[in-house]
Amino acid sequence: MAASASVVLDGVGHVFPVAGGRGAVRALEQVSLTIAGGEFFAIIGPSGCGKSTLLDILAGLLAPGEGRVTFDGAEIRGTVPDGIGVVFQDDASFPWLSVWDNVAFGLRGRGLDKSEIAGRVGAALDFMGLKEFARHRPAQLSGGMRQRVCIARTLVLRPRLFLLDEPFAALDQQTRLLMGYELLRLWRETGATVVLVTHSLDEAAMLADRIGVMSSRPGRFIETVATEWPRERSSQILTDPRFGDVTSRLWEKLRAESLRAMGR
Amino acid sequence: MKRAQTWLDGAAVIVAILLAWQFLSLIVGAHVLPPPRATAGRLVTLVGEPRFLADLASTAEAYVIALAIGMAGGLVLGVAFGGWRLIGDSFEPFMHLLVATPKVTLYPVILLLFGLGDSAKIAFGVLHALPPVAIMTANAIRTVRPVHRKTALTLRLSPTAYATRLLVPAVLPDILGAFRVCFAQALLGVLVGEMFASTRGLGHLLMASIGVDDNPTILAIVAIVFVFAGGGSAALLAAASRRKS
Repeated sequence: MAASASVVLDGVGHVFPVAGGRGAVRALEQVSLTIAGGEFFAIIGPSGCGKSTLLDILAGLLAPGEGRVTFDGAEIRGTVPDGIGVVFQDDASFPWLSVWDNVAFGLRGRGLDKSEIAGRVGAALDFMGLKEFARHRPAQLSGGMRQRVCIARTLVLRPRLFLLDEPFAALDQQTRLLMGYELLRLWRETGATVVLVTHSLDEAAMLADRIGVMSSRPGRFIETVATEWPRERSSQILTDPRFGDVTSRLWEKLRAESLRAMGR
Repeated sequence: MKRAQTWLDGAAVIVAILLAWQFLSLIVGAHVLPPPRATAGRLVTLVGEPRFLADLASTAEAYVIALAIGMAGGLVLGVAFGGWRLIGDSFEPFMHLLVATPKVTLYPVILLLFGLGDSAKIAFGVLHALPPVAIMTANAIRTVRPVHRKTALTLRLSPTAYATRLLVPAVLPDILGAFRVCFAQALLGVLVGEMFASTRGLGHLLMASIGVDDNPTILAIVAIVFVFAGGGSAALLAAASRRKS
């Protein structure tokens, strides 16, 4: 079981220059947040509010223009630190490798012996229900299965912080729900901290301990909603009256921001 | 089963070509277009002639050198163009210009630079073969999916590991496609070079045969080139398909 980690964002802002030197776009402004170790935190917000930029900064893929981000007390600044695993919205599986080799990809070249790699890959494939597809190529799998391959590839690295950027956006509703449960199981069993960016209010309300609602661009957190679900939660949550309360509260905040993002 | 079907399809195409050739020969006359059987007979006698073997060896040598320079040079330039934007923006347009220019118009310049002989035809082969490889390699590198680049960063791959374990496999199908073009273009360049200003090689033999209306020899040489170019191209295409599947 991986140890959990805490993440602190302090006054984070970022500006992107416009191509051709014609001005700049402020993507994030004064984003401050603390995510406790082992917490499941979801981020929602209108399109273009800077959710993915924030996740890139958290991952160390982008250095923040302003402010400071720390992970377990160490500053993250444009370099991915050890202990962070990222799953993207787009299918990031490598089509030239088998499922097994895709999952083992990040472990190779790290000085691990073959039996250690085989053990970790086997366990991750088993966990994600991919064991019988180990020799398949990604092209032979469905979109949901390919995304599970990418999650398994991250899982074998035993990250203390999972960052997921709309990982289920391209999947159908049923698969999304099932993948959501898989994610909850992964979170419970690894003890890792999870940060999930999603467009789906239901997904955020069902999975997360807390949900951060971002404003339209420049993005900042305008509200943080705590769901107070037990750690051992299940699909029963969907029928809980509090689930409706949470999604209503999220929508109330998000609606105004979405209209603003649409220029109304 | 699938392989057997592929072979059957290939055999059907060859039979269709031979039938069409025979039919055309009947229409225009065997003296203008010798039929497949006569061409095959000439091919057998040709292979036994020392002069032909010397020409074949000369063409093969020039071709291998042009191909190697075209592939290696194109690959190096393509990596530079695709990997470093400034270099690509500055020099890649010249490659596009070379591809667009009818290269036969540059042959006098090649002759001035290299003189009559093997160097000129090799240079002409390289001129045909290198630019497509450089352009296609550069495009392949530029089109590596951003999510794969991001994944490499999140998996903390070293630059060497990124190049060998991600970049090379990702661009390999496109590089094999570029080599397929290079394979045909180098042959075209060398043969055209031999046709215009050389005293040996299959291109020279072809021109000499045209001069004396030796149509069976012309067709025999065309058949050799056709089989070689077609076979090589098919092998590279199969390799690229295997990588993609």
